[in-house]
Amino acid sequence: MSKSDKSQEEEQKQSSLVDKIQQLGQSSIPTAPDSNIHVLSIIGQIEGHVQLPPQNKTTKYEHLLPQLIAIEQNPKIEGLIILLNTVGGDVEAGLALSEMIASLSKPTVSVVLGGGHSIGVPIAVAANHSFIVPSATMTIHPIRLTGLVIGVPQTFEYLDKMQERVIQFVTSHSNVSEEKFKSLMFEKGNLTRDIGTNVVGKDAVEFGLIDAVGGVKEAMIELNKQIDSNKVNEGMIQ
Amino acid sequence: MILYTPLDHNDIFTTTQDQYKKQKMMEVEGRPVLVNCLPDGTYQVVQLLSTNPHDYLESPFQPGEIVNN
Repeated sequence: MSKSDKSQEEEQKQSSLVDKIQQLGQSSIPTAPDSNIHVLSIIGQIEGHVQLPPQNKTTKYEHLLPQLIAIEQNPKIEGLIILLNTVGGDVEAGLALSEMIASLSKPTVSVVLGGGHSIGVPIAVAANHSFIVPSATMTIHPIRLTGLVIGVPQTFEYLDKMQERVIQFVTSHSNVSEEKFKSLMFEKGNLTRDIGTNVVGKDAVEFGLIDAVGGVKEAMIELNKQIDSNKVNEGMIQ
Repeated sequence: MILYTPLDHNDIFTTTQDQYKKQKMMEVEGRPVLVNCLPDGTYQVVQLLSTNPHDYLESPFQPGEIVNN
């Protein structure tokens, strides 16, 4: 091999190295190990079919639903924690999220922090086990409608059915009875300008709405317990 | 659309239509991120939408970070 050939080869090697640095430049960021527990945060408003103005913090359900499928499919993910601090939002988007969480085969635990109001209630109870921190509140109130109404009886019936769907979901996924939940929803005198009830941490557990009072520590213990019992069950089948 | 929330309708819909154009969703290193479009053509991270808790520890996704795309 002549000298010029050698130097050409070296040059080629160097240029490929430069290419790699250019292409992968920032890829040397240390990657954290994969977590076996994923976190779904339901924050701010739950956005539905209509995009909300940007000053609202929103939970974008069109991105969350595929993420839930990905969690279900990924064998490395063994459990899901749902963190809630929401003021409610779109009924159908909220129910869609609730049904997705409830139908996951993997262990799920929810923690209500700050507030889990209105449509946040079905999302909180959708998990296998739900927790509420002592200072968190959940507002339970009837579904309302603002704006122009065409056909009052029909609209009323539609709203009534919508409300029934929420009540059905909550009562079938928690220990609260239908009568109790409805009485909380239509209670007078608790909210200044509205009917309904603002349920605080411990009361939510007493009513059977939420399973236990607790925060991150309790949620992690419960989730790990469920993951372990899931593993034992799988081992028995095999 | 029916909103089930204790908030008033006016509290949710206060801005004008052109406010919507400022924000968009994009992918940064494979993660969906909500960004604000800045006048110089770059983007500022507003919110990271990921269920992997480790993603929140990494610097390119912190709110306020500037992304060039």
